[in-house]
Amino acid sequence: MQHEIATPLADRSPTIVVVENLVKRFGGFTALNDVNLTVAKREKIVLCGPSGSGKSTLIRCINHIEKHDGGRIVVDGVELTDRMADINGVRSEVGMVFQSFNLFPHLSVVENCMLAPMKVRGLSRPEARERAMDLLRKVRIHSQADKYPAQLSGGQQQRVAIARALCMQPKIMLFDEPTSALDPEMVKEVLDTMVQLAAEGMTMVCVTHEMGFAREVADRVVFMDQGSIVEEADPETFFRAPRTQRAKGFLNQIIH
Amino acid sequence: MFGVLFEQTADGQRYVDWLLSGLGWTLALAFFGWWIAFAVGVVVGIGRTVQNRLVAALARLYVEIFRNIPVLVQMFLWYFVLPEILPTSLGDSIKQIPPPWGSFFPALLCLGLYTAARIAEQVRAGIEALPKGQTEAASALGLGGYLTYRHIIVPQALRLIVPSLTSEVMGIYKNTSVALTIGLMELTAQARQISEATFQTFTAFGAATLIYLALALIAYQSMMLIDRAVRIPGSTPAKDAIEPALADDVQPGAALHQGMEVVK
Ligand SMILES: Nc1ncnc2c1ncn2[C@@H]1O[C@H](COP(=O)(O)OP(=O)(O)OP(=O)(O)O)[C@@H](O)[C@H]1O
Ligand SMILES: [Mg+2]
Repeated sequence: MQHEIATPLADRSPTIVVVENLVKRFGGFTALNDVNLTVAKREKIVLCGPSGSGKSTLIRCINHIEKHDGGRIVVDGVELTDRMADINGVRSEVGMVFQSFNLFPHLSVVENCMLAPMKVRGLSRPEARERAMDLLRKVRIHSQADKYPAQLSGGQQQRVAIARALCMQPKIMLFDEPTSALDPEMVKEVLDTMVQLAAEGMTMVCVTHEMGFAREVADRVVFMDQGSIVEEADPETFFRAPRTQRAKGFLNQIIH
Repeated sequence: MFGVLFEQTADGQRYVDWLLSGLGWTLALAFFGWWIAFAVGVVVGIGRTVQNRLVAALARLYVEIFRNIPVLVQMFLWYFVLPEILPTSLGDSIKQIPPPWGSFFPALLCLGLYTAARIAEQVRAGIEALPKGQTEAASALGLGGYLTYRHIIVPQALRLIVPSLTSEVMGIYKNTSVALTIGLMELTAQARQISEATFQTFTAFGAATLIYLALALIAYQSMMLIDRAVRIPGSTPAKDAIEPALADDVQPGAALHQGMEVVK
């Protein structure tokens, strides 16, 4: 922040996301049951837990891709409700990276990165292009800018997806298992990008089972099971001495 | 064998001129009808996939009505029935439209709106075939409904359905022959007229058949070119998808059958 004159209230608040008593159901099935989570600015949170525990559902609720059934979600000072007029305003502040990349296959790499800044943020084409090229350079893929997604490897595609999200200059980045669809030799290039992003102070919530990454960047590991947060701790404590039996069982499984 | 086509007719023309004039009407009907069909079809097809229940229901209603009434019946509805149900003055002025146009416009509307219903279903299928992640990624970037359709969904869905649109292009120009029933002197009508004037049935309809085949080939080749031109670099060609399009014969009667499959 260079200009401190008229900082909106939300910008001075130390938290960026508040989740309170969140409930999410799919039909009769309760996917999230009374979840509470607060994300501070610049905080890096790693979410882990067994398959089906509700990790994806939780982060998808944070940008309202899934609508919640109970509780409150406040993102950057704005409460998410079904009737809110400006959900896209909130979403444009929240970057999201998916397990399956979800690049737009009919647009070139650089166009993937330019579309939302132009259409949502109102940047001119040259501005959007310049920003896109900067961020593609940052994820070290600018030499492929005019290729199409299908012409890139999985690791390259995921780095483009990260750049695309960053082009909106989001206040927080959500990652849903960004490396689990990748071949092992490509995992590192994506994790390196995420480590770099973390080092620059980006607020991040990552669903991942990459324990090395969690140890290196996470301020907090949040462990979920059956739709609830079961345990939260700093990574060192969590991996060395998990308190709950369920977390112990889970850690045993992913290490072996 | 086609020598007779170059003989003089009673009105000083040659029979081949009759055929060419018929070909002109056929092409005009197919060409302008196609653009009506494409424009309406895309809009209605999108309408079938939107969240708004009312819009989706209206789009569905459109498709079921226009796709399930045989083209021949629709032709009669536009030509004979429409002027009767409109207010008298308007109906009368429609009946006053001079000959070729008086049947051309009803035929154009009929074929355009009928084919639109079929295209709408293709568009809907194309949209529904896209991975859910595309919409999610667009939403996550803050693109709203309109921008997502405009820049993400529709461009991809249209590329996906180029092969199946091939059969619609061929369908619309084959269906132009139905317009002879309301008096438009298109290719088939001219062939019949020549056959009646010369008693050379085989020559007259043989020539028409060859022209229809040539048109089919041109339509097919152009759609292949379009498919290639819009193909996304790096994606695999959808060649296997375009072959069945040739086999899929679009007959007025077949529409009812296909409609029932989707209704169930
Ligand atoms: N759209 C949906 N409809 C019905 N049930 C769903 C839907 N999405 C998720 N679920 C269910 O909600 C539960 C939580 O799913 P979620 O995807 O959040 O789990 P997860 O922790 O991300 O698991 P994974 O590690 O396998 O990705 C699962 O039991 C899942 O079957
Ligand atoms: Mg998941």
